[in-house]
Amino acid sequence: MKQRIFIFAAALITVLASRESALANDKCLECHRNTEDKPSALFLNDIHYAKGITCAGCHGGNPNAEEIEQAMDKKAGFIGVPKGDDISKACAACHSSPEKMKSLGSSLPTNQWEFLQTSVHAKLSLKGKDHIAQCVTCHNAHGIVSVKNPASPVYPLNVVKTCSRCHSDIALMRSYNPSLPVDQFEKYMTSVHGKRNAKEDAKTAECASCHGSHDIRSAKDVKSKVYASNLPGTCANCHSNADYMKAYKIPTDQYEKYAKSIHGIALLQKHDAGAPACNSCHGNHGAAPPGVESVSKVCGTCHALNADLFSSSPHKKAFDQRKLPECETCHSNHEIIAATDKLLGVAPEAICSQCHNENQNVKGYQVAKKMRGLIDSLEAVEKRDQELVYEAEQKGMEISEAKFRLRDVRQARLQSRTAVHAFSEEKFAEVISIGLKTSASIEVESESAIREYYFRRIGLAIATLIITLVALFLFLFVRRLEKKQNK
Amino acid sequence: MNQIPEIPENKSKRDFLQWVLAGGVTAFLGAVLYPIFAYLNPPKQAEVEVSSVKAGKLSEMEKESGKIIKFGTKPVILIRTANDELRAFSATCTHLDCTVQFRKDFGMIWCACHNGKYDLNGRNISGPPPRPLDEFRVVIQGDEILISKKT
Repeated sequence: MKQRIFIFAAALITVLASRESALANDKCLECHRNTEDKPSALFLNDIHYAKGITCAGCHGGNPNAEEIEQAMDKKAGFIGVPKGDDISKACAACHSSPEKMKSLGSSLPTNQWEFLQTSVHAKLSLKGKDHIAQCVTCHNAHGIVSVKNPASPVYPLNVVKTCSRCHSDIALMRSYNPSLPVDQFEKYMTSVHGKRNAKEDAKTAECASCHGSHDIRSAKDVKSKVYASNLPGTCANCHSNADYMKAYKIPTDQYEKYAKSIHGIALLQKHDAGAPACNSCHGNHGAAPPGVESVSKVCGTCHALNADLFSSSPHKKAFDQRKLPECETCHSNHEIIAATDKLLGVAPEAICSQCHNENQNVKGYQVAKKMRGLIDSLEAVEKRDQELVYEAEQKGMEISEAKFRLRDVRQARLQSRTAVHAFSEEKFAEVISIGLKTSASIEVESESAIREYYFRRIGLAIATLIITLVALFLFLFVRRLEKKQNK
Repeated sequence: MNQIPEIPENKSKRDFLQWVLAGGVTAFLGAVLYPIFAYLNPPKQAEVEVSSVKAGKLSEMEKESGKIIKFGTKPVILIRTANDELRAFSATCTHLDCTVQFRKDFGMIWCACHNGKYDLNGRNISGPPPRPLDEFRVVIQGDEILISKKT
């Protein structure tokens, strides 16, 4: 143990001694400090300076030379101020080398340059040649400090402003992606995340939390952290972490519930990229829970008919008075399951029965009961029609017209589920009656086809019997004639 | 008078012939009756595949109108646009299989079940439909409109 401590101490002393020696001999810094230029002043607070890296580490040249010509001699490797991708390459010379980083006592990952190559900032180019963003774009050139240092431009409380330097610049963004919004910063500042970030809560989500840092990809890129099917998982990184979210006192089961919901199944299992993810209801940059009154409007962006019908229904006023969130009260929020007819009616599992019973809100109780009866009858006749059509079809009868009209019965049933949201027995019965009428005509047609089948079959049996008998009689007749001839 | 000598009966040979005859009659009856039985009890049949249908006469279809055509057991929507183009798409909404319709007032294809909307290229543009409508090929032969599946 003692031996290990000794080795570590010796290594530390060696590193510090070499650092001091390197910095003491850094003539570049010495001269530039004398000129009182800004880069050299900033460099004194730079993490690289603290690690003993001289100006020549990035700019090349001979930092020990007394004369300026020798120090900035190209033969000595002087490159001056690197331009374009050479900037990032200069950083990557050390930051992509695990050995060099280790020798400097750094535990930083060494894949930033590799990741940057895959990012949208590398895919887009400046003047068709260099990456749109270099390391210094976000980290600064001189005065670079650790990301954990509050002075760093990529510190969680500063990163939003750093990104917005470009992303809020209309002229700059227009020259790369004119359709990309430039109001992300403003929206973010209105979000729950943004408000907490403004209150110096460094734990709340900022740009890099959702988009990544070096490997930022377009939202349309399937590998992007904010691509539709990846987004719920990205939000869940924080929101499903009970320890991380403890201080905020909000539930952490949203992802678990969402994954089981009809929306989650559509997006995560059926890979329907159009299915709603977290941002569809909460917003993305301006993420916040929708207010009680705006729930139906949010759901209504997709479920427009349901929202319209609800808004003109008697329930609208009742929900508003009780401050009940409109869609959420019956359908839940994150764990929205497929709406079946079981939700309607007065049975214990029906949603209506939560507020309506024989003693309380009686009118609604009666309407709910009737509506459930109507939709059940439509479902029953649809099932019977399907069986009849199938039977007729399997008996070889031409029944395609009736089969085609079966769609209308199903459609009436689906429309009645939408019509439920008007909470009007009359309107509901109107839709149901369309389905019942169509069903009646299908029933007549398919039963007639089945009767026709049996008629034909019996006819065939009789015809076969007659032909057989005629053949038998003919045979007997011929035999009698032969006997007569033999006599 | 000489009596005709009685020929001894070869019983085993007669039995054999009877068996062959009976077998032949059984096989004959089987060959005749099986097709009748099979006809009376048809096998479970799959849906008849349709590849092309006549959709009516061009002269009978107004501009900015649409109609539902029965394509086998599935509906197809035929649209004549304001620019006099004929387009056909599957009329089955990609959300929950309701039948879509042409709405002249919206200038688009609309689903009555959940307010799903598609543009006149069949692209889902609003509401819950997750993907566009499948496109069909429209061919004009004289005044006749023919719709067929895209290969």
